[in-house]
Amino acid sequence: MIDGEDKLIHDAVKGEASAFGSLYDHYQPKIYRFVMIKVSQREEAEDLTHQVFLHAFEHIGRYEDVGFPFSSWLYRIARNQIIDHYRTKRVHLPIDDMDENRFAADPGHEAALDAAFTLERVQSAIRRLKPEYQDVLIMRFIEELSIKETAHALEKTEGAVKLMQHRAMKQLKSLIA
Amino acid sequence: MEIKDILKQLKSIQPDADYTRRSRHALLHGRAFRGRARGGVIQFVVDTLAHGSAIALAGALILLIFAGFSTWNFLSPFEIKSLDPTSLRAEAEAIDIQIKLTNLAYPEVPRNETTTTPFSRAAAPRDLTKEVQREAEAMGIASASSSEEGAHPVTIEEALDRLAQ
Repeated sequence: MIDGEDKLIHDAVKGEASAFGSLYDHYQPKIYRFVMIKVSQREEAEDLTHQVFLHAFEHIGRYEDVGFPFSSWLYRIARNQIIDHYRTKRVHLPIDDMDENRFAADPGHEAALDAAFTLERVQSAIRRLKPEYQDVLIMRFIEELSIKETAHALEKTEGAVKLMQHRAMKQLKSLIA
Repeated sequence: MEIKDILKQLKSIQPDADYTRRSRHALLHGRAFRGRARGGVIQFVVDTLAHGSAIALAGALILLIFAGFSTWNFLSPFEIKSLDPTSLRAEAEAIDIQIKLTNLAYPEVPRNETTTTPFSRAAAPRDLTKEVQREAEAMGIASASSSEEGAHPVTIEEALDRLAQ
């Protein structure tokens, strides 16, 4: 949450471009990361992130501040955009289309290569989890949202989030092992 | 390494700076934002009028469809007499639309004419014989044949034999 977020949202609702800009600058990298981990393709992640903020701009008048950060609302929009994306498009990833540079990060350093490979493996494993498990892991351990904030973003109870987090982590470990 | 630490490292994923700049510009200076930012009382009045007129037109159309001409006769200052269903029905009943089959006539064709046509098979050999005879006369051998024609008609073979002699 950024300082003076309430005022920024209030101004953004009134149509102040600079207020929107500030919200965009703060939350865009988080939303992009959330989307990117789930879809894996850079172009798709960029398109979807743009759609998320476009939707947010068009519907910010409906936003109600009920004590949760603005990011929870954005994550909800992002989740719905991703669901719609997968609903309308079957994703196929031919091996030839994969970005070789992702695996060729700093080939001079074996350690860096190993780290990149490990990250790639973890990302790949996350994508094999159920969508709601992916959401919980990203929000809780990458974006470091609280249980309460995650529950609000996912429209679940806090108990359900704790349970999902436990199961998601267990499955992720078994996939990586 | 602990899996939670690996997950934290994924925080290093960042959007491309050029993409971010373009996306931000498109959102803040694009059509979507300008349209929304117009806002205010004028926008509210315009929106209300647009919605109101659309609803009124739809209502009028539904009324016209379901109530039909009776509503038109009731509301309209003009009378459309020709569209009065009672008078239309009376007119329809007054029309005599009996078809008299007795008036229908078919041209009679004689039975014997139906079998004789210009293309009948019997006519062909007769015409051929005449043709040969005509040719024979033209070549100077017709006198003999014509004299004997009544008792023994000249055939093609005979004509050819005579020609050979």
